[in-house]
Amino acid sequence: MKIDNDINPVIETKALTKYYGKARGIENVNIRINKGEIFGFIGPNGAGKSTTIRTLLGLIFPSSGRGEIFGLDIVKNKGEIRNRIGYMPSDVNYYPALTCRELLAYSARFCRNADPGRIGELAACFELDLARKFSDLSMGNKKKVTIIQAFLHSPELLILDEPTTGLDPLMQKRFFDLLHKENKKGTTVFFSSHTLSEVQKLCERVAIIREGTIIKTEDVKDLRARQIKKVRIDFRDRMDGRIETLDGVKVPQHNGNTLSFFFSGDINLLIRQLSKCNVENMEIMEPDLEEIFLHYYEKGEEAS
Amino acid sequence: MNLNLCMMEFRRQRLSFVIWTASLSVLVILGLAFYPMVMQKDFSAVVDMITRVPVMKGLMAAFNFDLSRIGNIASFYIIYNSIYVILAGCLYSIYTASRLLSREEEQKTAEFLFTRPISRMTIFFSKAAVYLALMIVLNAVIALSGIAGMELFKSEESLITWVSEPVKAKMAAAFRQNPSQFQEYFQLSEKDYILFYAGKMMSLFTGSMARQKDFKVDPRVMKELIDGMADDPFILLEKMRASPEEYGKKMKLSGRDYEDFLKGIKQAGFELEAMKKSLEADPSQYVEIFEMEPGRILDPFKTRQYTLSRILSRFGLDPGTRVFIYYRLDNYLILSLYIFLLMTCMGSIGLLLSVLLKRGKSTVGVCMGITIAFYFINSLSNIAPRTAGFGYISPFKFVNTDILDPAYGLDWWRVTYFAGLVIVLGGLSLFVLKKKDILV
Repeated sequence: MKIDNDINPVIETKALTKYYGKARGIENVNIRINKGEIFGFIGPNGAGKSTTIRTLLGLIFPSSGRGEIFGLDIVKNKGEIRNRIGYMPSDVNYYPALTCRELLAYSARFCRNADPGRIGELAACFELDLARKFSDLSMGNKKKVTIIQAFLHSPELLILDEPTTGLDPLMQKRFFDLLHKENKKGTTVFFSSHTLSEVQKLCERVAIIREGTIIKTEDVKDLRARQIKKVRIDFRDRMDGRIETLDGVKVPQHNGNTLSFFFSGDINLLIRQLSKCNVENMEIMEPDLEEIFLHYYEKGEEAS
Repeated sequence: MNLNLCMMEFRRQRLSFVIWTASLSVLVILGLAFYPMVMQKDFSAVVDMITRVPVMKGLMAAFNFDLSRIGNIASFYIIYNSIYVILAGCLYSIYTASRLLSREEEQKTAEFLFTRPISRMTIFFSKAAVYLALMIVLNAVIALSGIAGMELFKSEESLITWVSEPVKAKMAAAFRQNPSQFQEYFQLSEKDYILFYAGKMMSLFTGSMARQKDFKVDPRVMKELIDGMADDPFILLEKMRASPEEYGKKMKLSGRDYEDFLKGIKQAGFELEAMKKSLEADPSQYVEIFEMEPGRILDPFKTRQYTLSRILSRFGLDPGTRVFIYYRLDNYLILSLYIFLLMTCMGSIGLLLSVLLKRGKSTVGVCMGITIAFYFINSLSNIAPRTAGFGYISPFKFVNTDILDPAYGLDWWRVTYFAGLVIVLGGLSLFVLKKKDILV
């Protein structure tokens, strides 16, 4: 269910900036997330994803700029905002001496509308043994505790900071199913990650952050649909050097008689040129976000 | 305040709290169990001898140790109190407070706690309330252990500190009728009375007996002076008057001190004479001396042959009369309140550390350092009256442990000091917490 609500975005930041002393955290971050969206937030480690999230949550204070969640100021109305959001931190650290059940019950008692019944339900879904002590759990199991913790009060907004690290593929799938289910009910999801494939699977829109600045925010569809193809050609004999010089060829790579590159030019030109060659095999693929992402980064590096 | 958070904090504090409370109570009671042993003659005589060496006297003062005080169970309690309860209690207090918030950062649970739908102020007050409750219980348990220990180990032979007004009147009357009887019962001689005044005389000679300069005086010279005084202070005084320069040199006095000394020996004679005469005229003054410094007069090791009940009957008092109070409960409770305030005050320092130290780094060291530094600043300042002023840097100084002082009571300026410090430091901690970036 996608509700376009341009008047009242769930999250909106304006020139949000955070410096740790002189060290850069984030600079001029502008994000606008609409109700019912699954919004991806991608960037490598240290790009400022967690800083942005922690600023939104009121754990740290912005150096300048402002942000609103549900139209409430992130600095002034922290308490009210937190009642309505579920947060999954990237590093899981809870009170080690407690059992999972105690931890989750403790967490639930803080929330206005937590449903303790959901704890058992979600634990069963993720195959988590609630009687075990938190400190005895594996990384993946610890992650499950945070999932349950973030979902048990049916929040209107989920802020997920690299939620899938440590989860095995089966659990990842269940987690995504749960996310979709919640999203269908109208929950907005803000999802940060450094692996693009999962963002690709889940998100509708995505913001790319690098060195503290948002490079681009766009629809995942548009990203994929852009005229970039991934091409791989196996030549039977010697390689045709002219192909590399064609307009629109990017990042060419040789490997013996194989040439691979990204192509964003006129496909007819490529076909015409190829007709003059002795080609053994060729592939034209959709590049995945990972590669588009890399492409953005290289562009960024060229510019700088 | 958030009850959920409070309960969790209690749970987290439970184990260390139980251990600390139990150990401190046991130490208090064990410490008091030594009392009957200390009261035995030989041990006491040794301690007495040590305290007569001037250098030792200063050191003992630094540790709040005074033979005339040890003879009373309440004072005896304070000597142990100051070591175990005050110091250890303060360490526990400052450490617990310093971990209240920093532990969340250290264990990285701050990210969880500070994303719950409660304000930082609520978190602060919930934790502070738990801390305060723990301190109240800890202090109540220690105070009760102290009372239990004193009740268990008090002994009739112990020194008498407080004499109630009617009994005092009766004793003074009996005394006036027959001074020698009193002297006999309590085995007093003129020498005791001279020794009682020895400290005062010394100060007459030198301006201040406990001056740090005194430590430069050769112990042999000091012994000579004290012995001279014990033999006959008047002869000593005559000698000093005859050759002040020689004595001035011996005592290493110069400049103003020497002038004070000259003035002192001029007046000392009159004062000594006056003291002696007034005592002869009204022997009931012994009762006052007896109240002021019971250790001097009522050395229990001398009065052993007279049990308390026998002395009482000789005075025509019912042997069951509660003439002597082992300790005064009201003063004891006031002292306990001071100790509680001190611990809370140390805790508020800890609270500030809790929000200032990054991830609770080196909390243990900083807490220990601060507490021990304050403790010794206070101890050292007790060596001499001149150094007393600088002791007020330390909160320890604001605890009045002198429960033998007849005027002992709850001083509002002390309470205000503690309460003020707690409010200022607590407020500052809250301010910092509200403004700071939470480390995750």
